[in-house]
Amino acid sequence: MKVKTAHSEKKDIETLVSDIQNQIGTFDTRFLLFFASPEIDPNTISTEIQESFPNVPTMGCSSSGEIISGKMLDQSIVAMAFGPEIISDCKIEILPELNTDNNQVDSAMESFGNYFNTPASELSPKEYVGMMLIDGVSLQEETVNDRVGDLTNVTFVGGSAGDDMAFKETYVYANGNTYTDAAALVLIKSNTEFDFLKTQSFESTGKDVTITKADESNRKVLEINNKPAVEGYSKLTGIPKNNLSRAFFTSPVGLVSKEDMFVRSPQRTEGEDIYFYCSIKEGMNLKLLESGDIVEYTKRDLNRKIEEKGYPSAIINFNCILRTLELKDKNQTEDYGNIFTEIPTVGFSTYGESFIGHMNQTATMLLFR
Amino acid sequence: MGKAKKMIDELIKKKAGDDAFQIYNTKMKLMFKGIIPEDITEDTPDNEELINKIEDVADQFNITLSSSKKKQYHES
Repeated sequence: MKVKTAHSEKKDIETLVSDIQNQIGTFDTRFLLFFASPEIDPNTISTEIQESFPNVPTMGCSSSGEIISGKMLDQSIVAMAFGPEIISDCKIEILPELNTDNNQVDSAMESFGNYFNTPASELSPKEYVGMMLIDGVSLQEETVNDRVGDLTNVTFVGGSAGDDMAFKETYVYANGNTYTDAAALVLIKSNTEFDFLKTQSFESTGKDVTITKADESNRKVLEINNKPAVEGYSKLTGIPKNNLSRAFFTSPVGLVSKEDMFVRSPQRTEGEDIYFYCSIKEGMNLKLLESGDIVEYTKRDLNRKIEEKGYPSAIINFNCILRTLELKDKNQTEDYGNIFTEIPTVGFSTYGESFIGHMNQTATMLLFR
Repeated sequence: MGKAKKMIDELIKKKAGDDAFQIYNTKMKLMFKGIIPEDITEDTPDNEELINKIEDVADQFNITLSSSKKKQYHES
């Protein structure tokens, strides 16, 4: 067995952690990853988990819904213990003050380089893989992803912590500590092959969306196609300005190339401006997207991956909260959970997904063989 | 004409080598930085803003391009 999964919906934190500990049992855990509802005291859970798994590197975050093989849960904790067949070694780095210190990614990469005796820029992306969990209300995901990609060719996949849709305070956990305005990065030297899956249920309409004016740091778009953003988006979608939020779920915009697409989702309007769930650069040319069925697209993409590379022994699924809301709305959470019934899976509903960059309405997954 | 294309090709080659997944990765990293590699062809004009943008990305990747102004400065 390469991994062991566990989950608990107990209300008392000591019983809950003990439940997780009992399910993992005597498994030789080399790294423990967990995602917990903010209902589970964020100031206690990290310490309790660490005390239950002494000498094991532990990392996690608060969530907006949890995923375990075959199920989508709420108000629970899910965990995956990784054994020696997957983890040769791993190192966790914390970026503790995302909004005040711009050089933390550089320091983390230097530390990884020192630990593994190879500069981060020279680490083999076939031997090493990373995961990142970022405070979901920090607005710093673009900066962290961008700089990580500058400094190494190792792929980091991950998601932004949630807080059950409150969008007030999210938490990152590592080695018994709890952080806000922070990111946790783990670099894994893997003993097995790994791969990535990025899936989104959208197609390009072909309609051009040029961001002609933007306030990038606040993720605010002021003009689309040289018109006030609300007017420009309304014209593209054909939805009246006063009913525009109806189109946000089904008609986001995307950074589209021949090879891939990255979804950028509108969040809300404020006057004539539109706030997005991720930053969009001024001058960027995007396409208007139209939605398909999340369950069908996810099944299709996972099956392609299985046909291409074989069955994974573990999946870590960073699934956008907007996808979860749509699945709930369409009564499809059971169908989505069922996709992963036969594969040990852990994941959570995120406030943004990481894979090369930061994106929305996507599931980014790390697959170990 | 064609300078931006040469610079992009060199940048991708130096960052990604010959690995197909790393080439894809690097192209996507460029997209997130606002440069769409497939839109830059031999016919793309040598626009100063674009050239500077590519040089900035090369700096961020810690890569020296053969046409780099900095390289020329250091060598002169």
